[in-house]
Amino acid sequence: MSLLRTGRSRKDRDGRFGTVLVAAGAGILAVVALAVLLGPLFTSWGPNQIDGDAPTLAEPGGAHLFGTDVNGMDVWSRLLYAGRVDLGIAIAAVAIAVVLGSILGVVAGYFGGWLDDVLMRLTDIFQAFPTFILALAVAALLGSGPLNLTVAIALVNAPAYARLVRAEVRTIRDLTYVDAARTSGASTIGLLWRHVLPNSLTPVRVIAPLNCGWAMLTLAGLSFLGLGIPVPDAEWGAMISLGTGDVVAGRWWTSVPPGIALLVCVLGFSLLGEGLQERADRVRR
Amino acid sequence: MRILRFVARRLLQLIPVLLGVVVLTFLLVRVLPGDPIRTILGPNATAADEAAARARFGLDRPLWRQFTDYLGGLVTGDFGTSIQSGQSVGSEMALRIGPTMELVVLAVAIAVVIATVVGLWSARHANRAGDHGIRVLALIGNSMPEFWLGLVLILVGYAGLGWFPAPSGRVDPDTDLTPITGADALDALLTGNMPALTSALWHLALPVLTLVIVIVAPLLRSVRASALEVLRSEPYAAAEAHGLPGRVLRRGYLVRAALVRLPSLAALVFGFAIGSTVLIEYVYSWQGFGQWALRGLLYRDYPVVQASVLVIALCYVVVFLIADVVHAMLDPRVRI
Amino acid sequence: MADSPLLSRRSVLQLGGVGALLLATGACASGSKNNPSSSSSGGAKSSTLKIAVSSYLSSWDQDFVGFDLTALMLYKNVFPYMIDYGVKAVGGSRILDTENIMPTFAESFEPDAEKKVWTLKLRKGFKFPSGNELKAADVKWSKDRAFAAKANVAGIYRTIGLTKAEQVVVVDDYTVEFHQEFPSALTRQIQAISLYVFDSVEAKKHATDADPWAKEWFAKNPPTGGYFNVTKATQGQEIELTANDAYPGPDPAKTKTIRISVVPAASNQRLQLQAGDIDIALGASPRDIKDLKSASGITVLSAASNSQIAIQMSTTTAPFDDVNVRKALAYATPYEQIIKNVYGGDARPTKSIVPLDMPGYSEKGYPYTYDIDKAKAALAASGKSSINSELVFQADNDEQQQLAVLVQSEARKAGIELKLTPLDPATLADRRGKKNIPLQITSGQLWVNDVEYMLATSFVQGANLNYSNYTNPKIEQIYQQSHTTVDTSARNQLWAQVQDVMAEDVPWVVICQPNFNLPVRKSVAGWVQPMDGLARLRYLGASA
Repeated sequence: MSLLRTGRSRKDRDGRFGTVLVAAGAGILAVVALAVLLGPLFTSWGPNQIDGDAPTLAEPGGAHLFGTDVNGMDVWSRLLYAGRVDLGIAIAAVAIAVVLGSILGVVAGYFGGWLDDVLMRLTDIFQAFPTFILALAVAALLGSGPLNLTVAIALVNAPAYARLVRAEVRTIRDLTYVDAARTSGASTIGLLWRHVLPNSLTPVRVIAPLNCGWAMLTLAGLSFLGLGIPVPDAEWGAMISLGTGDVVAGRWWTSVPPGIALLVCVLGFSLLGEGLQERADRVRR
Repeated sequence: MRILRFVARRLLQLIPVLLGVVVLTFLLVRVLPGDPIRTILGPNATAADEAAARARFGLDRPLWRQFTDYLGGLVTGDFGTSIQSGQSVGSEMALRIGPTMELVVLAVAIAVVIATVVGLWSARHANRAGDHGIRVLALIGNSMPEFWLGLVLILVGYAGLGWFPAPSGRVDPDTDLTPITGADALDALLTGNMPALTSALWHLALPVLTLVIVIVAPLLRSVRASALEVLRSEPYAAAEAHGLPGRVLRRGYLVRAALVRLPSLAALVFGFAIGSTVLIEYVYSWQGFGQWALRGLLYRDYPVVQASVLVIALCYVVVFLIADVVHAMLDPRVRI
Repeated sequence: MADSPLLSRRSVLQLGGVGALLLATGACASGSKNNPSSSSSGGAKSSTLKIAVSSYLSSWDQDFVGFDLTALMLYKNVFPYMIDYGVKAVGGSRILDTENIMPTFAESFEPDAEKKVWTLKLRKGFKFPSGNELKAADVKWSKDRAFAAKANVAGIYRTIGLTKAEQVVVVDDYTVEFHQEFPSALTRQIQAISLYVFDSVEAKKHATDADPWAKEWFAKNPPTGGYFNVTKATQGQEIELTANDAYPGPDPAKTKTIRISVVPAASNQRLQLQAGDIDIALGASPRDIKDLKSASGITVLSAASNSQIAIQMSTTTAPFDDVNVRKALAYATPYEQIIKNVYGGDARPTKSIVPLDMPGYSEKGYPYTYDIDKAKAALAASGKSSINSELVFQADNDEQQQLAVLVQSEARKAGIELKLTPLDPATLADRRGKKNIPLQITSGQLWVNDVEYMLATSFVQGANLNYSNYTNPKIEQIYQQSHTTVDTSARNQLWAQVQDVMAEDVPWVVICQPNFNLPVRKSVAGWVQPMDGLARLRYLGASA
């Protein structure tokens, strides 16, 4: 009896920290999202606008809160606009990956048999494929616009969701309520849509935020290798890599602010994911 | 015996996956825009020169012939000839794998040890300030772009403090290290070259640290979660209630059970690290596998890209296989 | 933007010769401010120099594969070249003297009266590190190999009438004759960069029926017997060169050991140079060079250069097939801002498609300055109010990227909307081959400082560097006429006509000529500015 009680109170404490994490993550992301959406209100410079009067690499202060970069563009303004690109691509890519992965996972898991075998071997192939080479290849193939980068990052992530959803579907499809629906004559599509899919997405909800953060880092890495968003459009990873040449000369303002922005934003996603995971664990226990 | 059958079955399953990777890479690299031949000829090369070079690498043949030639080569262990360097891809690759492996293996090993020690501690002090602090810290490390972190560490550790060697090369050339495997620290150990070993380890310090910081978080949270599960299980509570000494409790109950999930996760992290060291290699002038594969891709050096993808994929699936086998041996509940 | 008297004088002498071309900038060279240390041979050699480069060489095989800057630079130092450039002091700096080509490993290289048959006489007793003596058979085998490769040298040889291996004839063990199809004034220049020799006795040991030219062996094993021998090469990472004491000619290597390390990140090269871990940073960025000029312990070797930055406009692709659209872009380009922002003021503005220090340069050749109103007027004259196009540049080139951003920003004001397209090397080469790039940034320097050569490589129909697809019957006619025009003033008149035509046709936006800069440790001495941009390491020493 006493054992159980201590157990419960511990669970509550877990849950509380989980909630703190979720709140912190969501809070960070809300602030970032707000700053990014309302960005133009906080700056009078366009993201790609070159200040012909200021020197390039001007120090912070005066007309430029965070100074200017090597092209003579306002760092603060680019920082705000870049967030749209980073958040947009990361969230869209993960959303596409979830949809694509879920469809494959449900089909493979529900129907099983040779279809399952083929689909799973396919996801094996994509998962074994090195992330960067796949993303680079897709970007090189389609061109390096934001849309194509989204597709590249989505393709890299989709197989993991397919596996996750398939595993859930395989346990769900034999549960009594699914059987009941099946025997009461529901169509396969309706059955999958109404009963199987919603319940198999539980783990996806936890993973997806973490994945968003990871997608942002992938995007930044691609930019660093020169295969991200083409210049002059602002993107945090591209800003960092453009600024790496400055930071060794003591000009911190071109790369430290985007570095911190990226860190904070990815951390927001990580905290959110970690918190959700913790709460999910508590329910499972 | 059952383990062996399990391994054999899994090995068989690898064949279609690897074949798929081979086909996909072969097609993908050829679909990409860009010409592998023009970059190796001077701008004053004529069409005839170009055709000659193309023929030299068999690129004038029909696609299916190129594929069967390539496949035939693979079966005999021949990865082809690099278009950029004219060297055999196999021997180039042999040089490049060592440096990357030494980096990744060391980093993953250190990360696993840190994750185990800190994770267990964290679980036993769950929900106290220390535990929260560790978790958030690990998450912060996990949220940093590795090239950025690497640059910061170079600025602080090399340019600022001067504690670490220049981010160039992997061992001091004055130590006259005889290369064997290409992993300098290992070669130094094998040849008993102590100055070279010290030098190689110093060169490894910053890149390994960078990678450890980036990958430790998921390992840590896995160990902590598993350990918590054990700590709160009834058998553990019962054992504790029976007054077993702390050391026995930890060794016999906690550690083994808490590490059950670690191998497969470590495999995942290993696979991720192999695929993403290219950024760290660039920042630290570490001429490993990632740099080689990236250059191959940028110059459309078909045989190099094909070989590097195949080898990374092979690493990935084999590591997973090992992880599954270890998992099966650690966890009696797993049916194989 | 100080004009450099040093360069104008030098350029007159400059007929550095290759059938090759504009080279990407990056590893160019300059006059040293340091006085050369004692040039006597065989003196005490300084111990070790450390040089950082951005990438490893693609291959050691000069015939079949290598064409990247690092490779070409290393070849100059590790292959035995039978004849080579001399050195000339100009205005306190030392430069490679492409006029004065002298025998090095060879004893002599002289033509017959007709200048059609050239005789190469070898020195007796020079041995490769393998112990084999360098003989006529080695020269013959090496040239046979070059013809068989159908690559670099074979292409260059065509310009002096050498097309078949049979034209290279062994007379005796120490004498080889080159029978050209026609006499050429360029023979010495072309042979200076082509007459490198392999150790054929050693090579034949590694030749097989399937691989008669030992390609596999030479892809892996560096050549031997040059000014330096490669004593260690860790693929992708590091190369160690050791002075070749057996070299029999003038100006042997001053430094015993040179270590070349690959450091891809420019910022890393800068840090290491400042910390004294390297002596020469061949891959420093313009941003760093600006700072390094005032850094302690570091000297930035600096000189004016004929390297030219331009945007080539495709005259056969819409919308730039319309000359008014080309003029609009020429007016919309912010020349001064580019020099200030991209090159930190360290570049010279130009007023012609012909480089500043090339004989025949005329200020009338490029009458376009930054003027948005004129740009709009020119665009209106073409009947358009706005146009769209893409601007292509090299993906890994920071300078070109910054330049592209500035041009895009200003061109937009004139109604020209540019999409910036960075391309990786393979895609760039492919698209250049297909000639389907509407706008591209080019940078580089002609290896022969002459307008006839410039027309041949860049402006006549089918020329290799004519990415603009530019053709004009007038230019073709002037080009033909120039072959037989030898008188300097007559040639200059032709070049004035060329520049008048170009002023009207505007195939290029001519942006500027950035100066050459190379940051080195203060202790580095003896730097010789190479005209072809490939560092000659044998002159380098370190004053401790």
